[in-house]
Amino acid sequence: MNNYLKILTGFVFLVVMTEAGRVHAQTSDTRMQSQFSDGQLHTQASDIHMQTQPFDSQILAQTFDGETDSTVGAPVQSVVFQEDSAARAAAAHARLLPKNISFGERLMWGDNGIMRGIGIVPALTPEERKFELSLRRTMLTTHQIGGFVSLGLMMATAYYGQQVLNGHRDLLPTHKAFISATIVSYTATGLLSVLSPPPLIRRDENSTTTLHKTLAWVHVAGMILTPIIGGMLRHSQNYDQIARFHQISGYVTTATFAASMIVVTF
Amino acid sequence: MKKTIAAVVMVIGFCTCTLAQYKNVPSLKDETSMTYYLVHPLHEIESTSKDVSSVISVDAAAKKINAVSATVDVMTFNSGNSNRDSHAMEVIDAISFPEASFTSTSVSSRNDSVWVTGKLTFHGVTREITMNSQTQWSAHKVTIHAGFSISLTAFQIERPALLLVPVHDDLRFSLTTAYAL
Repeated sequence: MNNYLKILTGFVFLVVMTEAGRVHAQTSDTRMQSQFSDGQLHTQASDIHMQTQPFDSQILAQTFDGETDSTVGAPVQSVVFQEDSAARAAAAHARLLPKNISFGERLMWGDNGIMRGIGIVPALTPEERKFELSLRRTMLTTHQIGGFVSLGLMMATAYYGQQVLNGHRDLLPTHKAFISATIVSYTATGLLSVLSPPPLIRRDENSTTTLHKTLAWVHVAGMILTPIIGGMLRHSQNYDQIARFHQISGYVTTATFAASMIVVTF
Repeated sequence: MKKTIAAVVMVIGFCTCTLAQYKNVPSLKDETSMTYYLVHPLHEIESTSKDVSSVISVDAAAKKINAVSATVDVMTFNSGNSNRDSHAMEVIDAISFPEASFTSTSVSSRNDSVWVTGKLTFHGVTREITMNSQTQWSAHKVTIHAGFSISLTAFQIERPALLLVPVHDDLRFSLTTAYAL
């Protein structure tokens, strides 16, 4: 009987050792080039270290319903992911700002940007960047509200401008008041976007945001040209032609501005 | 007494042999991806990451999976609009919580259907979820297609808004992973 026990124990030991070697061999042969060492499964492809935990008590306690054919009560190996804190910290800092931020954003909000240089915001840290992203969100939300307000003012300006062209000269002061309000609102709305801290992610791509920004160049040009042409009306000897240019410029600017708002919804 | 000892040793031997059938297999990077679907009243957003790492404990001969772990770098999700993705990263605080991870606590199966229950840690909050999965077994590979959904509110995530209108609370995920056996 003692011999039987020794043989059985030896068999169990042999099975365990053989299996350990088989797992090592098969795992190191995967396409992810993983290998065990010191109890850890190192996976080069993902830069993530996975530590095996044989006979994890939590998973051994798993329960099943009676209808399944799963591995009830079978001892298992669970896998958990373990972070390399130093490497993670370095990688995390590198990801605080996207690599392809614009010249203006780098000038303002870069690691050595003006905002940090003159002490308005502190050095770039994860906590500071979280604050800047929160500030960015507030600025862009206000930018959206400002867009609606500016569009409303722009449409009112166009309406009263059209009334003046139709012969209601008494509405010229109202038209001019809306011009001033539109310029102030439009400028503030634009600055909220232009001066906001950079996003966390920026890729080279064509998206609705790209189209939104492209259309912005058109309505910015319109917002500069339209009041200049309008100012020329005062001393113009060719009133009708200049008025026509002013009218077209105003409508195109308003339509482009509305389009730039609509495209971001797609 | 000796018979008892022998029986115990045999049981241990049987269990060890059972263990020996399972091995940990990492996912094939090129064949692994995760997509989330977010619904806004104006449109549906679909964003995919291919930077998903997963490991399963599998008995290839018996075609059985009994443990699953996965992690994804949340900043690698790409919806085709980096401004939108950046906004998503803001609301889930990707700087503090750059990864979402899942560890199974139980796996049950019937034919090619597998139900994986486990702990999902996302936005620094851990909740139990159950994934409904389909497996495709071949001679040298197993592919898993899984799906699950979560509540943004349950994970303490403020719903992002477009034009001041917030997205729906339900966030749906689909996951495809493949493992070489």
